[in-house]
Amino acid sequence: MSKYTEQQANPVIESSLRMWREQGPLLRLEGTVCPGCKKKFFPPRYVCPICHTQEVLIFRFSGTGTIANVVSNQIPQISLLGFGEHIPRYIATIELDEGPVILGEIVDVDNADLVVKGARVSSVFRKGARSVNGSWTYIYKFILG
Amino acid sequence: MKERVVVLGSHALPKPGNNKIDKSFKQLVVEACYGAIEDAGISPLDIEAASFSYFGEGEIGHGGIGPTLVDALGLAPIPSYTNSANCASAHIAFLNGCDMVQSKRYKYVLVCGFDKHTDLISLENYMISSDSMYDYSLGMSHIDYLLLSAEYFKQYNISPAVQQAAMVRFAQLMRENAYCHPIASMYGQPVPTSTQIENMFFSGNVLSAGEGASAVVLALESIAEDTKNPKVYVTGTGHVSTSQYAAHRYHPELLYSDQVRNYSSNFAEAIPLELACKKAYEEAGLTSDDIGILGVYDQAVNHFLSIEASGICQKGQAPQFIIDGKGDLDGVCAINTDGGNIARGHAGGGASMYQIIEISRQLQGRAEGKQINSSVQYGMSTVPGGFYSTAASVILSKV
Repeated sequence: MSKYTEQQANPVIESSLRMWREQGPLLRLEGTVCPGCKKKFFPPRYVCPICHTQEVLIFRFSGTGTIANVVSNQIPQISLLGFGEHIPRYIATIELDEGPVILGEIVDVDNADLVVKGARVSSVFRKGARSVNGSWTYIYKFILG
Repeated sequence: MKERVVVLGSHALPKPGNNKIDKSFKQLVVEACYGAIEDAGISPLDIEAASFSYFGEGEIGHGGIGPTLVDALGLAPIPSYTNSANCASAHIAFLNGCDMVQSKRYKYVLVCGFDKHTDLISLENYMISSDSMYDYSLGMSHIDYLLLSAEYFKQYNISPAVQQAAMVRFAQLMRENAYCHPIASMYGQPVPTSTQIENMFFSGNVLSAGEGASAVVLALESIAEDTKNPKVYVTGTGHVSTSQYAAHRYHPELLYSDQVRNYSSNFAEAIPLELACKKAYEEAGLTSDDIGILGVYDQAVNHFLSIEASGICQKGQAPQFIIDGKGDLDGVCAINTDGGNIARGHAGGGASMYQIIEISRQLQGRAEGKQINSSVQYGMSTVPGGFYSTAASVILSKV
């Protein structure tokens, strides 16, 4: 068979490089902190939007925080994303103890009544979605307590 | 003082809430652009530059969209610019077109937004409207942002009864407007009863995603002395870019200038859009009291946030505004007279141009659906893109 007939019409290969490059934030909840105004950022920023220095430093967040808002997602659409086996999912905005509000999923929920605004949470390391290239991604999520 | 821009001609393809599997994106763009050129009463050879908008190369599977479309339109070698700003893309192309004619480098500028999402089946193309690394890769997408918008009702302590009544009435209003509008995807479709709408997901307040294209031809007022159509002017514009990461909405200190860093902020307010509207009002020398027709991005509760961001009513009051009929065709300020994203349909990269075209034609007295009162002199089109990461506002006038 000619090599030309083996050409893929729409070759899209999901590289692992991005997940590797972002391992600090995604696996260790590393953001950045401005040494000048002490403002902390997550996801990491590479320039402080307050004082505009580029000399920001890596800062590892404690992973503890409080739910600012939460919803229970039971919509089948998310099965398309590779999260179909995790329904219902609790998607929350979480105010970390160090300041930033981030988006995160609350997992290992035994009692849904406890997943409310104001509840304390802490970060855990969990499996994420499966990449198109077949490998699993690993990311931060949150549990109550 | 900048010379005003005139919308010389416009054309929107029908049923943007439906897919057009028999047509390529080139065909959609050619049809919309030549419709707008004909409507403007000029020759294609008069077009000196173009601005295009879409949802990006990742959605249509085609790069170099500027030259591709200029060539498809038979307009090469005119210069072209492209942008993709999520659902706000077409407004940004429109603003870009205004800047192009106001620079006086180009007399006639063609602006077109389009959407084609059935050539590449990307399963979940909504990833392009979120931060793909820190929202999407964690499994959060559009649908979660919709659900988080429930924060709006909590913040303003809106009772469940008022929530339900407002959502149902808005969904009905969009379908009523679309029923008479031949461009709308729900044109001629009977309006469901309140009970039927109550049983729909989000009480019928979900946009109808589809494919289409919309185009306008712009020129300066001094160039467009003798126009084929009644003149409609761009009298004010506003454009704000903030952050694609949704949780940044809780951090106004990171996103806004010193004047507004003290805003409280969360998912219950559309502050970027409020800023864009404020800029547009300042440029036009108008207030919200002057606006008689409003185009908003309708989906979930975004229409309530957008009505409030435009200043048409106070924060937390939009649901009652809708229940009271103040957004009806004969109300205080007619909202989405073509049925909006919900019933007209939402062809992403061109969607918000449909709003501009609808308001332009209403002000010109040549509405394709029901005509608003001829005493209305000013209209405003607003749109957020990527969960308010981009926000834009355009004020149109017939005086």
